[in-house]
Amino acid sequence: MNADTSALKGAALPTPSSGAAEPYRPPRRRYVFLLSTPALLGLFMFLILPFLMAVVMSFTDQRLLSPNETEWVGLRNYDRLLSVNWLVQEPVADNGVVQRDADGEPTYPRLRTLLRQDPAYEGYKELTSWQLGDKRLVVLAKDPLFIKSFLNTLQFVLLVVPLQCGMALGLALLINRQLKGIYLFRTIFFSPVVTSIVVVSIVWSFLYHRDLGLFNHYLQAMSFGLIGPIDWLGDPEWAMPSIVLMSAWQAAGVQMLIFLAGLQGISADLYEAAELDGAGTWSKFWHVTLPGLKNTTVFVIISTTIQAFGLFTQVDVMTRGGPQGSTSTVMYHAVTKGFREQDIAYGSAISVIFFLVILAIALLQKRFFDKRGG
Amino acid sequence: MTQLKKLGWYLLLIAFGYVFLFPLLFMLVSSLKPEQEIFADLYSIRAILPVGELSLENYRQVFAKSDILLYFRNSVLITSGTVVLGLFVNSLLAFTLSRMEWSGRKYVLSAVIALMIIPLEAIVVPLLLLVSKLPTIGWEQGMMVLKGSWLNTLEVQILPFVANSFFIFLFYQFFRDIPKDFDEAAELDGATPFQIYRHIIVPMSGPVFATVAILHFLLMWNQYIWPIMAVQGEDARPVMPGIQIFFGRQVGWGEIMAYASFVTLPVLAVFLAFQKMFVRSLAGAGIKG
Amino acid sequence: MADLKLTKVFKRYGDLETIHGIDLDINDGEFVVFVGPSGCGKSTLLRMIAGLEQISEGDIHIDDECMTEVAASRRGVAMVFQSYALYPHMSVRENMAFGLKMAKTPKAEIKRRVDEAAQILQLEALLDRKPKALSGGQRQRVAIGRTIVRNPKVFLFDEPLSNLDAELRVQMRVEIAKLHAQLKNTMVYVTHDQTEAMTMADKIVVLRAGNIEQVGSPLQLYLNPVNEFVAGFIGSPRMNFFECDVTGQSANALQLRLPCGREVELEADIGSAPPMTRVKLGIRPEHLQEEASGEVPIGVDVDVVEHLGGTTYVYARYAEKELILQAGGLSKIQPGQRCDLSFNLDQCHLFDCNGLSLRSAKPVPEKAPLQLKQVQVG
Repeated sequence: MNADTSALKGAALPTPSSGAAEPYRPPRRRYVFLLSTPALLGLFMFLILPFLMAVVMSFTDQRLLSPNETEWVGLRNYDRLLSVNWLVQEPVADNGVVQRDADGEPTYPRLRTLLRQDPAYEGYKELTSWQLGDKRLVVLAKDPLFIKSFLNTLQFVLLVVPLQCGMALGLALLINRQLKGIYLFRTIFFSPVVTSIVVVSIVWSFLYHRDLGLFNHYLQAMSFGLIGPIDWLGDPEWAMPSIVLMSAWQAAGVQMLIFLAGLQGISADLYEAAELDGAGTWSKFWHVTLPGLKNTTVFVIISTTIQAFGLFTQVDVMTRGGPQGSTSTVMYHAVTKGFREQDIAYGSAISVIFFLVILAIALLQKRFFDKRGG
Repeated sequence: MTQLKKLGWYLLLIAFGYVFLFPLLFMLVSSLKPEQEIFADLYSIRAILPVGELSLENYRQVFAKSDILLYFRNSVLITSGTVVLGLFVNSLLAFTLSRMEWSGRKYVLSAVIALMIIPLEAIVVPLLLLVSKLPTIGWEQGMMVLKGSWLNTLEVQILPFVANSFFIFLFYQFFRDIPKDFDEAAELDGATPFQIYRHIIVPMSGPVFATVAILHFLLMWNQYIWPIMAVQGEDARPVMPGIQIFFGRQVGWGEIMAYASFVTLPVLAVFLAFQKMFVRSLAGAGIKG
Repeated sequence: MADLKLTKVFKRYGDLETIHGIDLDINDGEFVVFVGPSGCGKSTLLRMIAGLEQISEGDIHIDDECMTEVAASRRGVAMVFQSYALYPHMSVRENMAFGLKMAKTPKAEIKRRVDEAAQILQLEALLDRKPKALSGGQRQRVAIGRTIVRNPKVFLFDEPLSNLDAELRVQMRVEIAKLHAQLKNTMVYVTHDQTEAMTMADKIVVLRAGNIEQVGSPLQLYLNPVNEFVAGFIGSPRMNFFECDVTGQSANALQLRLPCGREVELEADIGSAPPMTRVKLGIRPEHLQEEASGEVPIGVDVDVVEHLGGTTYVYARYAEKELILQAGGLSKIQPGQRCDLSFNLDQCHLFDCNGLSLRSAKPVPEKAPLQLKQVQVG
């Protein structure tokens, strides 16, 4: 340190001349404002505002493009959506003798006339019916398609969540070993995730094709022709399950990674201790792996559930809500009503209900994790 | 592990691998085959093998029969626009939330986290009404005019998706781990908050920027529900609605596969190039969510 | 070159007050060390000088200009952080140039200043390396280089040596001291290590719980601690304290009964203070003598003896109190034996029940300024 430092001293730092002190706080506030505003504006305009609009609009009769004034209608939309009723029909009888049709089934008075006549059933349509002996129990709803959509969505969720999470867990267990090239397989299992669900839907439409599709071909081959071709996407019984299978296939990769991380978080010591205690493979899985994955599993299940509730694209591309409404979902109904039929208010009401369901599930997750301490 | 066990695992892996790879390979390979060949090869292993008469004829047909190139261009514009703006906008808010002291910070942070719950589907319907009423700036005869409604534009597919709660949160978590010493040293050096952001924080945040870019890219390229609602005309239509429309027409399966492959190739390319990062991003995003 | 003046400086976080009205004058060119136990507020005070923390009440003047409301980068200060805060993605040169770049200094000027600072600190060979390719000591020098380049009025150091290993710490201590002698700037240095304080400071400020306990040169604090806290804080090993009963009191003397029963009389500044019953006697380990040849003999039971080669530390019990003696390297004291030690009264310290010193200040020898010959820094 023997250099001449006098040269450095010549050029001093800029300091304010006496009196002109720069204030400390205000510039900071200005910066915060400038830097935060774009994102906050975006979040407000495109997330909070639409949400609020949905809530408000659901109490009106707002249409998408209409010259008419929008009016307040209170709970009418919700009433239409959620009203469910029932009645029991006696068969048509002639002096106590039940009139039967060509198949021997009892005949019933025309439901539509009945509904129109009785003011208590105004606006209701048939949703579904069951036979009880000679009588018929008819379930009614003001928007049977919505109820059906909701039930379909529930069906989808109840089927896809176990399937997808189960697959994900299985794949994670498969990947979680020290084998050469295991990362290649991880990439392979993950690749459907990056593919658009639209593309996946289209490709699988081909595979599901009744006459030309691969599945039917193998089905027939493996059952030696005993099982006839199934109209996967055209049969109300099979349409939703087909979508379930495809959706689980596409999305399992993400949950697989989450499970993988969870598996790797289980201390190797626990397995060694179990081994010393004489535990076999199945025991180790049951007593070490599964408990260690508890939090991960809950998280995976809840997030898959929330995601599954929003089912739309696959349905729109493959089946358009059919056949016979068997694949219509809550969101599909919302888009159909709100956009395609221009009834924005009604679509908003459906969106609000959809959000409430999601919120309930999310809160459930929060409660679970809060209780267990995360 | 014994050799036999190893073999067993590999067989299992290959079996599952086949299941997961089949549709994609089938799509790619079929896009190169003429119609009859696709069906001929369908029931054997040849379905996923590029054998026989291969050509780009299907692609040529697709380019001729549809506006796929236009849609592709639109998707590129929409995706890159959203991602670039998003990286900037979201990281800036995360920066102020994580590194600057201001009143109301805690409330905004809680709000951002709370907003993560709302899925896109819950607001597409009302958002549609909102954008139908927003005026946009257009050019007509050399003058700037206000056109009614954002529908059928590229903006309507970009702007609503720039700000994203989840990405803000990801940035926030990452920034929080950077020691504040750097900010203070820079402050003493005379840097304004934006300069600290630009010269210090951003260069140190490569991983999170990459992660968000990848996630956002995936989100926007594959988007379907919004474009089909907000865009009716062809001018601003992106690829996913495009393929759906194509699918509804009388075209051969080979052409459909060609369309599908063309639309998937960018994502596949990015995926294979940044594999490790992709996988890490999505897993991390999943866990943090 | 600058004076630094703190006037009635307070720091509050809501209802909690952590710095209680500090007044401090630092003269141009002084090397001042803020020292104290953790939580005493020394770092907070430093950061308030830097402008990184806002002053809740009070003023700070640098060179007679009020800087209380002035932004950190405009105060003419530069700081070396405990973690160095070297920007990891920038080279050494870029790290040092950053502040000048922000101030829009012309490129040629930046290069000149960076090169000069690099020469002073022997960093020329490292200019293009990134921080992660540097050793701890090298990073420290870059951090210092960053401050030199800004040519500040006041240099601030926030515990810069705490991340270094012991040997490097000693080396860097000397280097910083030499830097001060060469640049002659005002420097404020924060540490919790009293050895660093004693060796480097022109003036030490001892802080505890947001208050200044004493300000003075190292020797002043050593010879004339103004209270029990400072007496116990300065000096290693720590001063020995025992409680004594007061048997007699006059205006300038106290008669005491030591814990072993012996009675002594000490000169003290009592004046007209109210009668005292108990006082604390303080005697430093290095002022206890191995033989009974001093004024006051005491008998102790030796527990542990530590031989360091050049010195010996003897841990003993004196009338059920712990006592440390620092003896010469060839001490023959054995553990387990009974030993006779002694001390001289003029080397004792007396503290009343409030911890305040009762002895008048002894004259302090002048500290010789650091003579710089042709020495290289390594």
